[in-house]
Amino acid sequence: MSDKSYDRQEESFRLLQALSGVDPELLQRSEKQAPERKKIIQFANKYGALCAACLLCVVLGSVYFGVLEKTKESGMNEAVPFSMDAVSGETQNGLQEGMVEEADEELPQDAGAFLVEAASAVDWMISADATRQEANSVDSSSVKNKLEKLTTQVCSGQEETQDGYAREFAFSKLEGCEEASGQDALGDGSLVYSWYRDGALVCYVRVLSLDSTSIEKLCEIGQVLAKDMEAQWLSKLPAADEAGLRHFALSIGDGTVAEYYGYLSQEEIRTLFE
Amino acid sequence: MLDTAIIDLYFARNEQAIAETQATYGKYCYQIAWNVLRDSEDSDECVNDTWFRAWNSIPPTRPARLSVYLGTITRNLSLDRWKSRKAARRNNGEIPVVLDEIAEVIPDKSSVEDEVEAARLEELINRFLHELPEKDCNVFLRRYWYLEEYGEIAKRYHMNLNTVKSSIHRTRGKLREYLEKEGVTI
Repeated sequence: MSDKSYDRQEESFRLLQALSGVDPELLQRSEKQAPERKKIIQFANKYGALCAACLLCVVLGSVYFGVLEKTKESGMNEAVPFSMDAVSGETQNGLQEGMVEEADEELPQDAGAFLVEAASAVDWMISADATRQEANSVDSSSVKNKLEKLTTQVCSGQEETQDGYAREFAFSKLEGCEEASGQDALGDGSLVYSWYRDGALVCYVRVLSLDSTSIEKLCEIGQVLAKDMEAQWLSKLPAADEAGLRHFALSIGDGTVAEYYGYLSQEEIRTLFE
Repeated sequence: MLDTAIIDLYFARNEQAIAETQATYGKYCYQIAWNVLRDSEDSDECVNDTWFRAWNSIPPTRPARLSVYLGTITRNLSLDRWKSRKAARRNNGEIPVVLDEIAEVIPDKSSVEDEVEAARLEELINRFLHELPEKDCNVFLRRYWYLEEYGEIAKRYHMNLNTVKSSIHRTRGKLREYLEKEGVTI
């Protein structure tokens, strides 16, 4: 140890000795132990940062998936404006392709009326066949919402219009099915037919009258299928969903459109509309 | 037993006073001696010397706080013993470390003995400690009065070890400034 270092230690030692004269009160005070912090505070001090990071991840994850869900939903709303696609869950044969763009095009007022009616028809059918609806996974209310949304776009605030009374339509007989004759069940002039097999409802067809211009326009944009002699419309039918439910609108001639909603096979549908 | 009762025994010259003191403050005094000396035999001797000093000084002295009174005696005895041993080696107790640390307070080219009397220094240190925040003061005293290790202080006050170290470092700096401001150049 050098002299200088030794001297400094000596001086330090004196200072240390001088500390012996410290006020006893201060010494007494320093004797007190600090109260033990609550365990929760200790835990927070130890793992606080980790907990905060986890919480942040959860919040960010929720926000992310929330936004993703929202985006998906809105994307679906925009991409599938009409019920057929929503019911089938698929886009087939280009029927719905370009619907969004085309739906924004100016449509005849009668087309808007049709869509309003279509929405109310779906609503009615949904409530009438509640049991069957539970069995399948179709979100019918969203179908209805989409119809109403599109209808609003098309009608542009116009009052709902009706297009006169639908004519009776003679459907071909379906084997093993019992047909209930057309009724103006909705009170809007359209006729609703229903078919039962072994007492269970298998389909509805709603027949309504529209002017030919509207029908042409709707056919052009793929909202309504046009019945032809070669039965090519059958190839354009939307696919049935997992529960076998299918929904489409078919122009059956003479300004009449049939809106189908049911569980029949493609062959049975062909027979029905022959 | 209460302090007053023990002191009364001293005043009555009852040797039971030493037994009671040992029972009540034996561990406390031993810890102070141990912190300085780090030797059980020396520490025991210091504690026994403390009881002897107390027996001789009470009466006439009537300490207001018996623990501090006894602790101060033990501390002084321990420091003297440490100094007399002249065997202060590194890792031999906290003294060398503490002295190194406290040397920061002392500017070069000066001497405590030359510049200031011990009483004056004590007074200044007391004033300084009273001005300190309670927590800093406590930590400082635990380190330089009781010569406790940083870890012990941290445990006592439920503080982070680094917080204790930085608190002590800050206080040393303040003390140096304070003493220089008061014209004490130790």
